Formats: sequence, structure tokens, C-alpha cells
Amino acid sequence: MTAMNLFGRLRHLGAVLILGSVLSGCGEVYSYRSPAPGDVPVASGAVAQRPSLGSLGSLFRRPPPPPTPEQVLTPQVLAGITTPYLLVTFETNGSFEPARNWGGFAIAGQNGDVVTWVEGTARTMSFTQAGVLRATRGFGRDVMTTDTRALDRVIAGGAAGQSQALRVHRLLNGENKIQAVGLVCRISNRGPATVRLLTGTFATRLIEEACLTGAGTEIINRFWLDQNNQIRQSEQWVSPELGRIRVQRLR
Amino acid sequence: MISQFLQVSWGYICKTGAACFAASPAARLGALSLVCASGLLGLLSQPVSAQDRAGTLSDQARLADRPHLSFFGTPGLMDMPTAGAMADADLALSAAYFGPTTRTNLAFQVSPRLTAAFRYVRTDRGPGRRDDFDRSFDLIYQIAREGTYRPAVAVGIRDFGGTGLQSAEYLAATKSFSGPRLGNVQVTAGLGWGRLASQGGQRNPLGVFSSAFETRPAADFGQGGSFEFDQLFRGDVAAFGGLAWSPNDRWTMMLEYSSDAYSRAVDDNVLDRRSSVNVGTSYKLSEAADVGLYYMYGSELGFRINYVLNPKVPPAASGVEPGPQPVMVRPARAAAPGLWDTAWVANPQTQGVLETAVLGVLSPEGLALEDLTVTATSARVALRNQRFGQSAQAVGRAARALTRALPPSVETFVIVLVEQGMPTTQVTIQRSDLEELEFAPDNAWQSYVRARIEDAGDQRNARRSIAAPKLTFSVTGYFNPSLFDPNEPVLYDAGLRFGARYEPLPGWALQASLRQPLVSNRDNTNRVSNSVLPFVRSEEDDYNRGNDPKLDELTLAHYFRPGRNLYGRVTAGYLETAFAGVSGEILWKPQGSRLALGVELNAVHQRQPGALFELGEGVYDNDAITGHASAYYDFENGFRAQVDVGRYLAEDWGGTFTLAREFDNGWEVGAYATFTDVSFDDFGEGSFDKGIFITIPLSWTLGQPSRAARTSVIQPILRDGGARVEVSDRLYDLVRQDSDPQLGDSWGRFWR
Repeated sequence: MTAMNLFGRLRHLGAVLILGSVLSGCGEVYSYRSPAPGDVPVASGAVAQRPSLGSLGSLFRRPPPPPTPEQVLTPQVLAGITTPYLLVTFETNGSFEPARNWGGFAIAGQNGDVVTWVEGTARTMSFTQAGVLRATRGFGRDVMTTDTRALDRVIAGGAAGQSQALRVHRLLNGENKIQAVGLVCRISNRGPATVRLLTGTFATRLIEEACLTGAGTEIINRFWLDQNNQIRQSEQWVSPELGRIRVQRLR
Repeated sequence: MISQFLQVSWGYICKTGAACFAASPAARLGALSLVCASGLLGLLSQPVSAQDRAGTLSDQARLADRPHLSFFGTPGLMDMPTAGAMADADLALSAAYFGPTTRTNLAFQVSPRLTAAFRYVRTDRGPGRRDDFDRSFDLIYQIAREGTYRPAVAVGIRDFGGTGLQSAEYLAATKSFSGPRLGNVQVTAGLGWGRLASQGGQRNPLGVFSSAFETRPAADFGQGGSFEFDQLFRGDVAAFGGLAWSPNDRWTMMLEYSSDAYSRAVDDNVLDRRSSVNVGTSYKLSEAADVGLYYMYGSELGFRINYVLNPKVPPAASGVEPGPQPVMVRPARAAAPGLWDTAWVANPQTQGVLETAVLGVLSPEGLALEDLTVTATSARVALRNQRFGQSAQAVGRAARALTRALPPSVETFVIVLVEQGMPTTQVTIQRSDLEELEFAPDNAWQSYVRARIEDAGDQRNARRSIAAPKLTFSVTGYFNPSLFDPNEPVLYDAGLRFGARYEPLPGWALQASLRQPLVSNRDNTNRVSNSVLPFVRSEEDDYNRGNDPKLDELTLAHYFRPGRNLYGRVTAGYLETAFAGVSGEILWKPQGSRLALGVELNAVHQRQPGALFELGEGVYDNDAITGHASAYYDFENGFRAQVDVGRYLAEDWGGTFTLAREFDNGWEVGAYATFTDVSFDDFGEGSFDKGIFITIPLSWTLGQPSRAARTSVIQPILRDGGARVEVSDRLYDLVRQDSDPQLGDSWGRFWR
């Protein structure tokens, strides 16, 4: 094959790449919401879930690791936060440590028992007042709603039964249809446990919710409740793509 | 030999002019193109995500389930097909090269069993001869799915309606076996006709039914593009087969016996066919991309790459846009009777105060307030959605925002969607439902059932436009390529596009779009039309050549509601790059109806290429009265059909048939064909106008809300028969996204 010939073929492949770029929908300028002014303390590590499109820079150099909560939320910073504050960490490779995907959340609104927390001015997570996840927005495969009646009863002081408890997470699929994911769970009381947070050490009792998905995968949610039946720390499953989050109530 | 070539015309369409013309800082452009370029690279190099952290809950196609694609871009080994099928809606782009041929394939899994593929093949014809270019179209139907004992069975037709150079039919059966140590082994056996019987052909067993099956009539190329039904499954038949072994999810080794003689390549001395056995290996780089290396016909190395995406699987899942403003819950009336007082109704300053408050909560959501009427218990809010690809999300965001701006006694929200000044649909929502359902487990369904969705058509156009921008400008980069010209594989012009839009009154828009090419290689071809019809499209290249600015559009348009369920448009001026004139349209689209009907009438004169304003002279001195009656039907299964019957630009009469698979996230993959009273011979190359189109919403790619979408049309070189004038913002695309059933189909986004 001559060099010219090869060049011709490469140009032909160039056409393929261009077609590909069209298929990927690029080339149009878009408008993006400018953040509304907010009075919420902003702190975060790396994003939890970005679209799986990579970034050009990351092809050539490894970005420095994002700061950990300990590096950002120093005692001085924490002393300045006087309003309710959540530290949410996404599990990566089966572990919450070191915390690289994390964010700080402040209260944005309340509807009945559900409090919506916002990170900066954009992404939100909603929890019951006790601390059970109800919804996320802006993280990719968000959970639209959760239905955790059995767990709510146990957290409100009911007995952790041996019977099966149903948990339903509703997600939005790629065609904007609600996709309900049902999990069958067993809730058990694991007794006293000490939780160490950046703002102190707390005596809690641990409630564990072990769930099976329809596909047979096991998911463990854990809730550390303080004396007021408030969840001081929890590990909660969000969706198949987002995995689990660890939620720590710092303030 | 006929050397057919293709022209891919790339059009940007926006679902609404408003969204397109929303001021877009040019500074973002550079960043965006970087994102796009890196996105592409990222897509190709994307690592396999930790496979479904919770099992198979995700709808991402699983690595192991994705079939190997042949050199023809459809499920297969190398040159031989298997009976496999891709996942429903998979769209596979692939390129395969070996010896004298390079194939570029685009395959779409139209339905779980039907695969369609479009292909562009470049063949080396030896020293001193020009490369041959050929396009072909395949249809494959999987007759039987694989069972415990039964193999999968598929029937395929290659080069359906093409020039016949690749023409072949086959019947293939594939059975897979797997075991813990074995991995997965797939065995395929098949029978081929036509080109797939050119090696080792035997007498056709179908001859027992009719002796006509025993001979394959010679291909009659004509102008190409006509369907040659009299060839199907005729002539000799040959057996082919092969094995594919996947020791793990990523690697596949293949061996096949090919019944393709590559007669012409052998005659041209560009292929030394020493063996009928091909071997190869392919590696899955990610859930989407494969590369393969092959040894073909005992003499040539082959290389193949493919990328598969699925419109049902957005890269950013349900999106990474900022969250909505939470519902602000009112205190109970008994707890705060003062807040529920309605004395404000009588206060003359109320309207101004509420307008400011509503503007303040809607603007951050990208919703422009057009009109506001508030009584003590209800509010009617007309708004223009400038951000959200799904109208349901715009309605949901507006409803939640209003809870933060309106006095507690206002219980009923009537949200009116406005497109180009036309009120389209009104959604009535009870505020107490928003408060009750914000976190209810089944809130998507409940809120849809409780909302009242109806035509907003008995109102006149919005009286005024409180927040909608009157004058907007845009500057964007553009890239306008035409692929597959035999002289130059990529013909393009690229540069800056300037847009301006002025709305003197609601429903009236003055709109201009000017393109300034900065780089162009369009002078590298100098094709001259050989059409016997007026040159209404065949000299299209003339309109893209040169570095002088091109005025693509300068129009005054009026949009109006003539009555209930009716929509109207009149556009006058320089309608498109090649035509100027007047265009009028009326659309009937009742709320909730799957059927819509429309009529359009245009009086146009062709424009002079290379000139900003002059009308055409000489061969461009063409004027035409064209018009169509159109029927649109939105099938429940996600397919959309459209039939347009009427008169075309070359004053020919006929009809256009369009069938598209439409996804509720805005994706569309479809095809169209136009048949008019122009004979196939007079039409010229391709026999009749036809094409494939793909619409990709930007929001799908980026995970950020946007109403912009990009439509790419792959069509044979433009000819003059069956040509229609292009007008911005035809009514059907403008209106249907706001009205049921489409509005309800995406109601899942109401709570986004």
C-alpha cells in the first residue's frame, strides 16, 4: 500500500470520526443556568457522578486528587458553620475512605417531614427529618423517590422485626420513564456503636438494613441513631449507578 | 461502473427558534468544542464502569451481551453474518478495512428483531483506475430467538435497493454454548445467495418450487436505487459458516468459511484470494467500543473498529442539571390567617409586585414570563420555556417556583406553554397537590393524573411579553461538511454563524442567520449538474462555495392560533439558502390526539448563489408554487409516521413518506422517501429522493437541559425531483412536544 493510498484511507476514517461527532451530538452551543444567589456554605470534593464523557485534559495528565473533608473542613471552618450541615460522601471501590467524592449540604427547604438539602446552589438531596434518603437531584442516575415505610417505623422506635421489609427506589430511565427498583430487606438492631465525626464523637445505636435486589445483589444500609432518634451517620444506597452514600450530620 | 457518492448534509435544527436564539456567549464555544472533542475521545476510551454496582439493575447494555459485528457492520464474524441481533435501539457505527475495501457502516436495531444497516464502501480498483464508491442498505430480520436447544435464525438482505454490487441474501442459524472453563462458543451455519454464493455455489434448492429460482437475473443498475425484487433468493446457493469463541467478556477469536469470491477484486488484481478461511480476534475496549484484527483470505490483514451507542442510555443517566427549587409549603390557614388574607386583590400595586416576584423565581429556571393574571385563588402564568427539552420539566419547575412567589390563597396554577407567541397547552395544577406529592413515592403518576392538560387555544396570543427578550443575538461556530464526494472524502466549510431575532409583538419574529465561512475546501470539486429538471437542488454546492458571507435566512414570521386545536404560521423573506418567498401553514393538532393534519403553501423564487440578496438568473431563474397536505401519526409503540402529498420545487407532484423511531428523550432515527411524477430516469442518480436522519438532543449528550437538537441527514447526492423548500419552525415540531401524548410521555421529568 502506498503512502498516498494510506492517507486516502485515513481521510475516509476521518469521515467516520466526523459522523461520530455528529452522533455524539456535539457542536451546538448551549445555555446553562447561572447559579441563583445562595447563602449556603459551599465545600465539596470531586463530583459524585459526571456524564461518562471524559475530559480532554485527563487524557494527558492525572488531575491532582481532590481535597478530603479533613483538609477543607478544618476546626476553624467548622466553627464558622452554625446552621445544620451534612457531609455526604460517595462510596468508591467499596470504601468511603479516603473520601474523594464528597460534598457539604445545607438546608434549602422543608415539606412536612422531608428536608431538602443543597450543595452550593445546584445539586440537592432530600432526607426525612430522622435522616432517611428521599430523593437526589443533579447527580446522574438520581433517585426520584424512595418508599421505606418499614424502616421509618423502626427508626421511629418500633421493634426491628425479623420479617421482610420492602424498599422501593424510583429512578428515571433514559426515556424519562419511572423505573421502580424493589428491594427486599431485613432490618436488625446491632446495638450500641460509637460514631466519630469531624465535629465530635457520638454514642449511637446501629440499625442495619440488609437488602437484596431483584438481580440478587446484596446491599447494606446502616443507620447510627443518637439518643434523640436522629440519624447521626448513615450509609444508604441511592441507585445502581450512584451506589452508596455516607451521610454525616456535622451540625 | 457507476460511481455513486453521497452527500451528507448536516443541518442544525432547533426545536424552537427561541431556544436557538437564546443569547449564547461565544466564549463558551471554545470550551464546548473541547468538551465535545474530548467527549468523543472519552467515549472511545471510556473504561468499563464497575459493572452494575448492584447487579443488572442498570439498563446499560452488558459487555458480554453485545454481539460481534462483521465487516458489514451487522452481527457477524468477518465477512459472514451470524443470526445474532444487537440490543433494541443500538446504533452501531463501524469502519472495517482489509485489502482493497474500506467499509463504513451505520447499523440500527430498529426493533428487537429488525436490524437496518447503511453502508458506504470504497474499493481500490487497481493502478490507474479510480476507486469505486458504493453505498448499500441491508435489512435483517431475526426469525427465531435462541432457545435452550433451538438456534437463533435470521434472514438478511444485503444491498437492498442499491446498485447490486454487494447484493446478497442469506439465511443463518447460530447456537451458542457456554461453560465455566469453555467461555462462550458460537457456531454459525448459513446459506447465501447472490454474492454470498459466488464461492462454492450450488444449484438453488428453492428450484423445487419454481425453476425461476435457479437463475439470478443480471443486475440492472439503471440509475441505481430501485428495488430489485426479481433477484431475491435467485440463482446459486452456497454454504458458509464459522465459529466464535469468547474465553472472557472482552476477547473473541473467530474463524469463518467465506462463500464470497470477491470476483471483481480478484479480476482487478487487488486481492489475492488464497483461501476461503478467515481468522480474527476482537477486543472490547468498553461497553461501547471494539477493535478487531483479522487475517483475510490467506493474504491480507484486516482491521475493524466500532462504536455502539443506545438512545435509551444517555451518558449522564437522568441528568446532572441543578436541582429544582423545593416546594414552599404554606402555613395552615388557621395558624397564620394574616398570610391568607386576600385584601391584596384590591390593591392596584399588586400586579406589579407579583410580576416582579414571579419573574424572580422563573428567570433562574430559564423560563421567560409572557403573561400573568392573578385572582385571589388562581393564577394564570404564560411562559416561554427556553431551557428544558421536555415540556413536562418546564411545567414542573414553573409550578414549584410559583409556590415561592404567590400568596397562600392562590390555590390553582394555570401554566400556559407559549411557543413563538402562540399559547399551546395549558396545565392546571392544584397547589395543595404539589405540597402533598413532592416526596410521595408515586408522585410522577399521581401528579399527571391530577393535572388538567388542555388546549390553550381559546385564548388569543399572549397580550404582552413581560420577560421574553425582544432582541437576541447569537454567534456560534459552525461546521458544514459533505462526506463521501469521490473527489474529496470530506468537503466542508466552517466558520462563524451570526444570528439575530427581534420580536416586535408576541407572535411576530424578524429573524436573520448569516454564515461566514473561514475555512473551506469546497472548491476541490466542480461537479456540474446533468439534471434534465430545473436545477432546484442539484447545484446545491454552488450555494456553499466561496468565502463570501451567505445569508441563510432573513424572514418575518407570524405565528397565530386561528382557533381551537389549530395553529398557523406565515413566513416571508429569504426562507433558506437557495429560495426566497412566502410560506404559509395551518396545523390541526388536538390535545391528546395521536393524529395531526396540516396544509402548507409556498410561493418561492430561487436565489442567486454567491450573492446576498439577488434572486436567481439563468439556470437559477426558477420560481415555483409548492404545497403539501400532511398527515402525522404518533404510534403508541414509539414510531412516528408522516405522509406529505403535494407539489415539489421542480413543479413535480408526488408524496413523501417518513417513518421514524422516536424516543421520549428527543432522539429520532428515521428514513424518508419521496416519489413524484418525475420518472426514475429523469430523476437521475438514485432514481428518487430518499435519506436517513438522526436527531440527537444536546441534553442527551451533556446531561444538561437544552432544547437544542441536531439533525444529521444522510442522503444520496441531492437531485431536483421531490425537493421541498426548507422553512424554519414548521408547526408540527413546534407544537407536539407541548401537547399530549408527548407531554405525558415524559412526565417523569415533572419532578426533576
